[in-house]
Amino acid sequence: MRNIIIIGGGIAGTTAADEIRTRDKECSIIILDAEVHPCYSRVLLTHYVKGVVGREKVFLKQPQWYYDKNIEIMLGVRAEEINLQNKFVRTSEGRELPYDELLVTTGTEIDLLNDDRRGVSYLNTLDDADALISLIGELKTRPTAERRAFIYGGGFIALEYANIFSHHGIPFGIAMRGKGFWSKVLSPASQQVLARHAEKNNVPMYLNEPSIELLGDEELMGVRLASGKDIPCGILGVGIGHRANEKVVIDAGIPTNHGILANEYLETSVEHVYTAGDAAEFDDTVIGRRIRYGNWTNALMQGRTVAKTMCGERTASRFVPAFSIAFLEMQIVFIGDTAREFADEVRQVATEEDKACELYLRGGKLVGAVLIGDMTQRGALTKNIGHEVEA
Amino acid sequence: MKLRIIVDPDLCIGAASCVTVAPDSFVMNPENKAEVLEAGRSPNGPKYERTVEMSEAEKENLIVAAQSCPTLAIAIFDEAGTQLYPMN
Repeated sequence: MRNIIIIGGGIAGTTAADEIRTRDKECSIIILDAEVHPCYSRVLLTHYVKGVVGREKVFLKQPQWYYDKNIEIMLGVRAEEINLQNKFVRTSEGRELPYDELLVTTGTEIDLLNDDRRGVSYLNTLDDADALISLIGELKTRPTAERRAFIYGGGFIALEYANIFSHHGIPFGIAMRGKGFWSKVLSPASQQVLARHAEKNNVPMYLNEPSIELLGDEELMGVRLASGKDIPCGILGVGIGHRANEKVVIDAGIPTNHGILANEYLETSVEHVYTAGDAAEFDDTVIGRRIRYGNWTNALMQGRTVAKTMCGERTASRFVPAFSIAFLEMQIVFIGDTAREFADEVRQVATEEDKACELYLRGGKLVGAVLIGDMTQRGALTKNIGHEVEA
Repeated sequence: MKLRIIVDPDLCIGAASCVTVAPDSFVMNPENKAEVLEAGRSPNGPKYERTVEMSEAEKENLIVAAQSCPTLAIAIFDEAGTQLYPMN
């Protein structure tokens, strides 16, 4: 009987387990998950914190699903060591689990401030979402003048916090390290569209703030920006980046870069070891370079793809991911590869007061696009990713 | 077989995984929400819910598309009104 171990029980690992079980009724499948919850939707956490869905709706799988599929899930269990020579995984419980095929879907770990107070919030796990709901509930009991929040960050998580605080009627401001949202990706013109939208919604923005100091003894009372400005707040939402969760892989000697390195079939350079999802830095043959995506749909699709490869139907990961978010009801979509540093050319196609479109080109081909405010070209641009464009 | 497909636009965040898996059943609209198609078309205009005729294979793919939605915005019902996905 084949022994399959999957390290990481998020959407990539769970989807892979499901697909493997569909194809192989006999193998043993064990999922190790450091979290204590069955697979849930990280994307639904914002809806949950806003109160749009109840907590039970966040879960994508119930414990019974694993039992029915004969998939053993070890919750609250980490992989402490991968022994490549003898092909086993040592768990945080001290067990040594043998494997014939190993899939690493450990996802990402988020960057943290180097200080903490009660009131500082991160939005990565269900536990983070539960904690944020508590903080919001408490903040709402305070006098109106004290009901303030603040956000530090200039990317997706910062906007999730903006949507959450706005939904709860909590005034907030945003500080970021760069000169605008996604300052390493977007052109100044696109950043201006978002800045104007913030201004229109009475959201003060503080740019070029490379650090933030927490004020208060144990409870957060406010923040002090690098520029010296003190801003009172009871909650600070932090979104300052993430990186692949790869320590156990690095310790095992499996090659990594910004993620766990893999070919287009999601095979690492170590035989019988695979990766998928947010932790994987793989050869994307659609956009023509090695890339790591931190994107739900990509993780799901890669979970399915790598499972096929692990079951003998070698399948390349060829998929154009998109990341979609609203910023106070302004729609924003990132399609494909929008890393500016790897683009030969970034074309600003159209910019109006409340709209922007940027195209990312490499080797004469469209590899990525960003749409702000106007989604009508989304389908066409997605289809054109990987194809040549006119000069 | 006939299946009823419903997209909840309040849950839909525009991830478009449904479009990727089942492009004949879903399309993104200008509001960045998924609308339901019937065999790739929008008879009687754009809609967030439709009853469509499908083969067993198409139904399997449709369920996969609904499962791919990160916000569980897609509900599928059979002819008898039994909810096939999400399971309560």
